[in-house]
Amino acid sequence: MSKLSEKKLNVAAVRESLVRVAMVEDEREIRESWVKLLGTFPDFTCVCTCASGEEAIKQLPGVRPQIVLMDIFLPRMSGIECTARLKELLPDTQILILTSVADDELVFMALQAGADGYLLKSTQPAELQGALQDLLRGGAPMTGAVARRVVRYFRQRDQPKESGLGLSAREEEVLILLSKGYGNKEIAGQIGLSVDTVSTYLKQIYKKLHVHSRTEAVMRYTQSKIS
Amino acid sequence: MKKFRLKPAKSFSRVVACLHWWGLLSVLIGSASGATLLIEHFDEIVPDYSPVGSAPGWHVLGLQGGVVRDFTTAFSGYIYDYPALSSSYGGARSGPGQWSKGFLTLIGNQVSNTLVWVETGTNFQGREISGFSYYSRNESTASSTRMVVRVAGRWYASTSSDHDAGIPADWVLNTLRFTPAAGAWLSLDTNNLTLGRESDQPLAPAEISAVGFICFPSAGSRMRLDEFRVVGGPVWDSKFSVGSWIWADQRIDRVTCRFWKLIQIPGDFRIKRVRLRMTAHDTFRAFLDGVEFGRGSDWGRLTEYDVTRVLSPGPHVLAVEAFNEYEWAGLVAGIEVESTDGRLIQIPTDDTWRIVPEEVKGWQTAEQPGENWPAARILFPFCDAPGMPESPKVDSSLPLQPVLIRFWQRGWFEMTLLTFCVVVAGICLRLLAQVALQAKEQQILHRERARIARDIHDDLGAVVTQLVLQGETAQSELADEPEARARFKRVSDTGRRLVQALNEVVWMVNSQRDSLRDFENYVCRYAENFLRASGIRCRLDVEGEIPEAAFDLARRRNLFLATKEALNNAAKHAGATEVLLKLQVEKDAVKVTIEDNGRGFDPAVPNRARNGLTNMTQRMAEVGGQCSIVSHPGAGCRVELAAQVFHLSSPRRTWWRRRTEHPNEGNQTGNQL
Repeated sequence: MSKLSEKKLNVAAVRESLVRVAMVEDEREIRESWVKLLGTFPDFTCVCTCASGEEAIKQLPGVRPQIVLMDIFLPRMSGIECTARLKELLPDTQILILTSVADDELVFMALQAGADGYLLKSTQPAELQGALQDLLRGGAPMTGAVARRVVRYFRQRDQPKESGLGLSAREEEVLILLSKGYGNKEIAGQIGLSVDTVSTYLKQIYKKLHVHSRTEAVMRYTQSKIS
Repeated sequence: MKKFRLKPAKSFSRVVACLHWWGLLSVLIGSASGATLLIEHFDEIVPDYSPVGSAPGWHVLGLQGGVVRDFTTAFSGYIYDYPALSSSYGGARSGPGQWSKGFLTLIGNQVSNTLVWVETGTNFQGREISGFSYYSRNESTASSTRMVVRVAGRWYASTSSDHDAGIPADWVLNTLRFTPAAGAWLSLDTNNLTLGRESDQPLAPAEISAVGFICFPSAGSRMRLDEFRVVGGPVWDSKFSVGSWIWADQRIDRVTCRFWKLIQIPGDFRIKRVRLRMTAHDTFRAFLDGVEFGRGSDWGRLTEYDVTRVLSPGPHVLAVEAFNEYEWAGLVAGIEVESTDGRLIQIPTDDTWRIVPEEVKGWQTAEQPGENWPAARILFPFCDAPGMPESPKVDSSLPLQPVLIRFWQRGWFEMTLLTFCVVVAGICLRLLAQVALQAKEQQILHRERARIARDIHDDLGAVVTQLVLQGETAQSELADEPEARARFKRVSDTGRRLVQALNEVVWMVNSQRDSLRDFENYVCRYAENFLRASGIRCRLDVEGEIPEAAFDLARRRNLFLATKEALNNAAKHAGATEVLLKLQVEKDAVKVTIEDNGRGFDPAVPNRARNGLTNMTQRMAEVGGQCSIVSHPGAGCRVELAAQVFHLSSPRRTWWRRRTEHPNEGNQTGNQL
């Protein structure tokens, strides 16, 4: 009995130490596949699966996952809207967008809505694992194309830099290097910073993006859905 | 007994007619062949006759008792004392050459035949005689008149007249006309005597010294003669600047007579002034080159038209439609064309005017007279018109202004223009319809492409993704079966490649990605992913802001595939470690440069493996773009691709399509993908 309870405790302890991942995906088979794949990753555990955005908003605040894997195309409430709402409920939760087709515009919208990164659904499991770990470490992955979109976005907004809402010169520099295809390490080497600092800059950029545009993105998205 | 003989002028066969002064009974009229008789020995039988031609003015002479007497004065009044020559009433002579305003009644008294003539004189008041006419009417039984003329001192008489039948008849016009034509000495056309001569020399008017008639009234008969006229002299009346009165041969009451005259103004004539005066008894309508310019109804007044502005050098047609109510009929007109260098052309009404038959159409503009258009007959000088006021008035009308009809005001031009407009409008409508249809087709195409993209994504994409994930989970479950694992891995990888390919297809097909910016995003991401997978550093250089210009499927696709080919070459053949992808937008062209630091090659050396290069060139040529490849062995390779972008044809700016019809708003319709 005690052995059994010890084992249970152990499991609980292990579970405590594992990264709690939730999944929002309407396709059952894909959902199950992901769960199985996550099960093979040593440090991750799937704590909740939702088939729709509404369900996610209802359940996830109680579950408090560290990472949410979010599908973009969901029935009714879209993944982008769901991301925006979840970010309000769980500001510390990292949301990773999963999409079957890489579309920068959609990705950018998701990022605006508060997503912290995105991945293709067909990504190899090892890559997914790496991305999840990156996310936990605070790295904010961003491709060149998206970086360029972000720069454009901030330029268009024409935010005064003094207000703290616009991009700082350094942040813009990082983004521009990113948009030229440089990796984080290379950027760090180029401008004489540590890789972590570069990551921090990126995080900062994400935050600014979110502050500006989360509600805006949601509104735009819901509006376009109506029309 | 004195007599004079008449002999045929032509045959010269002597047929002698004896005219007895007192009781000559018969006159032998020229034999069948003779038309005109020569009155011989006139001077003999009128021994004391002396020409009075030197005296000014007209003289009415007659033979009385073998003596030539001057009846001029007597004729002016009533003549009673001469039984054979009397006037029922005396009329005043209204002008030279006119002997009218009263009947001359010849009453036969059995014993006298009467010769009455007008002594024209050699100097006929400075005028040339061109004819002579009178009306005669036989009022009882047979009587006859013969027209007589004295040419070069010899008398001639016509041989027959309508009155020969001896039947009381209506008025008959007898005319004598001198023609300058050679070959006709004298000819007779019933009552019309035409006098020419046999020789080639035209008859000089001065040779004619007298005109008149011989009357052979039978006893108790009565012959009336009226309206003697000597038509002569210059036809131009210099005082009033008009010609003679003219009319058709026949004068019928209440009939319209149409006159036609071609006016030729020499080309070198620089017109200073053109004056046209005219009137008609009784009314007229005048046309110049087919355009009516005047009307008149008071024959006693001349109307003057200033046609300077409408007459230019060259031929013009003057056409007049005159209407005669009753009495005599006539038209008179004169055109005076003055040039800047003082030359003067005077065109009077004369026998060069033509009478247009009733049935002829379009005569007012005909530039040639018809063959059957007879010449007008000259009646008498302007001032000799019966009842002509002493000093006719001249009314001036305002100068005629040419109504300048510009070519665009003309019917043909307006019709052409109208036709042109209709055709253009038709073409425009057609084009518009085509454009609209095309727009509609485009729209349908766009929608279809969006739908296909969505279907591929939603159905195929999801299924393949599932497949990949299934493969992955199967691998994780088969940890101890390496062979099966490897197979599943291959399934997954193939699936991934399939997803990749689907992505590409979706991107290309999706009409919502028909913009340059979408192209930029896609190409950059593709390069990043592809090169990363190949272990090559990727450098992106996007110059400036990429505009949201339209970049249609064909261009987008071909430029992308060419870029892909270039990247592929760099990764597979060049052995490069770094590739630079550069995107530039200049005005209307987008330029993609792919530069690698690989081993390079000599483009001049053909190589089967380099089919890719030909492909690239072909692809770019297909969309009217350019492809240039620069490479040297050991110095890498640079591929430059350029394609055109149409800013103007950007569907987002096309005015005739509504915005909502545009699925091309990536931001707003992202959920469709």
